[in-house]
Amino acid sequence: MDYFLQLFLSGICIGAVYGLGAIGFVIIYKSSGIFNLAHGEMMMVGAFFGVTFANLLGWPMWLAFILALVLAAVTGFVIQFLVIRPLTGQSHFAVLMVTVGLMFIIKGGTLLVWGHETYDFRELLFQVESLEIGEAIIASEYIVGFIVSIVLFVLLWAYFSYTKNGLSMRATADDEELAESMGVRVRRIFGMSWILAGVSSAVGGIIMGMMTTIDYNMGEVGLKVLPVVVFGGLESFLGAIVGGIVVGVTGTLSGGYLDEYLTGFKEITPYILMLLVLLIKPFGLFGEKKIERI
Amino acid sequence: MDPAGVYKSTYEQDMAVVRTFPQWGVLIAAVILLFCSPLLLPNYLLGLMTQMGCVIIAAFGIQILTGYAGQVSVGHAAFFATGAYSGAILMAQLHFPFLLALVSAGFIAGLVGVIAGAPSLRVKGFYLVMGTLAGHYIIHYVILRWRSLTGGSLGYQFPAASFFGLSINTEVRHFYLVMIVLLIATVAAKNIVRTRMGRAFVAVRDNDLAANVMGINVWLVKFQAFFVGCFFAGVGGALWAHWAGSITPGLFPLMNGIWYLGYIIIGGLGSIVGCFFGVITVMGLMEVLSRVLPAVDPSLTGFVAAGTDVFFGLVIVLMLIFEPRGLAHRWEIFKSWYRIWPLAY
Repeated sequence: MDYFLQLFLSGICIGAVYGLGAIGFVIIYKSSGIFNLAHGEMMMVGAFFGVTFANLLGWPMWLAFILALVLAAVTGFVIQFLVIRPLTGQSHFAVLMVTVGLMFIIKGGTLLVWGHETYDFRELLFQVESLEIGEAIIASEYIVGFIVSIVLFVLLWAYFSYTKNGLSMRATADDEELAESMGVRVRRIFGMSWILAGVSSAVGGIIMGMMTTIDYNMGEVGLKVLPVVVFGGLESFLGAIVGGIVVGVTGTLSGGYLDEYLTGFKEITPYILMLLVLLIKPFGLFGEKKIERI
Repeated sequence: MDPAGVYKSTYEQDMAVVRTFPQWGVLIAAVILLFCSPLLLPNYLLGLMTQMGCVIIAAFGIQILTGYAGQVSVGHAAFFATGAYSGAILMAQLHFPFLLALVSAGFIAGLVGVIAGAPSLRVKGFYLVMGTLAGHYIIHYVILRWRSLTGGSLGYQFPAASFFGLSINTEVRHFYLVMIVLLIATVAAKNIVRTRMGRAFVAVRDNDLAANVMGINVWLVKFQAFFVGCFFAGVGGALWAHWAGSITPGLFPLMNGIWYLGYIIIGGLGSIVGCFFGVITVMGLMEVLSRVLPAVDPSLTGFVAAGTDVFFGLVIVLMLIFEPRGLAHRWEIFKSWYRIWPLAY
């Protein structure tokens, strides 16, 4: 039972961080209808910004965190300005492929700037004691991750539900032309949504970097959050968090119980889960059903 | 646009792929030149061309699946691997003759593709991308962990094929084998997209609801698209594995599957000749960057590894911004220019 509890709790914490990664993904999709495959790489760049300030320059963690977010916001805006804006009106497939191109550029660029070395944050964003529940222990970095994801989730949910900008973003994603004719400044909304995505992916990257190490392959974690996104539905923050926790828990549980029979099975449990969801509820658990007309 | 003086007076002439005598001449000359090239080129270049041939065959598959039928798949590397492994296993364990193993590898990859493409019945667009991504990881897992069948991470040896006592074991013989299959595959792919099925693919791509209303069985068409697309991937994979000799799961990473999309983007979506342009351009440039540059100056090696990613990322982004219809479209423009040159009317 303690073993189960340990697996379950660490699954929840890992899952919350998956959810954090997935949120950045959902922002882009919710506000501009773009499926950003370069999201993992944007997380990685955010983590590298943080590491540069915190480790290489030796500044305090909170300052490094804020500066990294500022740089990530700039990166998000530059991506939108140079790459996404010229493609306005192109097919979704073209925009999807352009994010693949971005993925290559960011990965190669990171390799050029920071090289092959593996980095590690020296301190956490804020200090918390590790928590003991029964026999199970949750390490402090997981608690930090959990708290940050929940805070970010609440902030974003409130932003999209209650502010005018949030409403404009949802309108733009739904129908660009219609939103524009209703007086929404679509270009500015796109810029803002990419800034927001840059910031949130940097938060995810830095938190994830605190749990593991940071190197130029970290972007592949971005592919791991994709099942989470699909599980919860592409437009739902709640879905991202719930999906993250479900995927995290099934991952640790299958790793803990099935590994002796099927080695490495936990690597593909998220994907199997995702396929099942796709077949049963094609738009995810909390996604919006699309009604199509000719 | 045809030059002045070329008239089409029958339906057959209008539908012909190769329309005039000069075109036949150029085509036959090009094929003869291709088959004479082992006399002139070093083994290294022949090996590169052989690899390109295999990848082009697989790229026909993704072109039909994504470019024509509009079903975006990032799992093409896994179907390529399925073909490679099934070809190798059929030949080594069941002692199939090579050609039968090649076709069976295509069939097996096609069937696996149909299963992996099953989510396309319920979802499309981005959700389908995710479905094929899951398909990739699951196929990869099966290949890696089903040790008794595939040899796991140790890999698998592909036995050399032999025809009439002639074993395919040199670079030149591999080259001829792949080029002959490539010719057949080109003719097949070019014609598949002109059949009723191919036109149904395009209709489903452009608007699947409208296609359904017009009486096209969308489910069946999607299955057909996945089967045909993955069949080509399987054949290309088996040929490539035969050339490589031994295969391991690590040779078929997800990035390769994404690269297939890159090939058809750069070559041109919805164009069979675009597959040639895309694969030859990308693989050629990659070879130049990763082999030739470090040979010129060894100190560049580290820079090149990172620079290659940036370079190809830029190529994809710039192609999409400035020439979304790919190199095939440029080729069409060039053709219509030289056909009426020097007397443009």
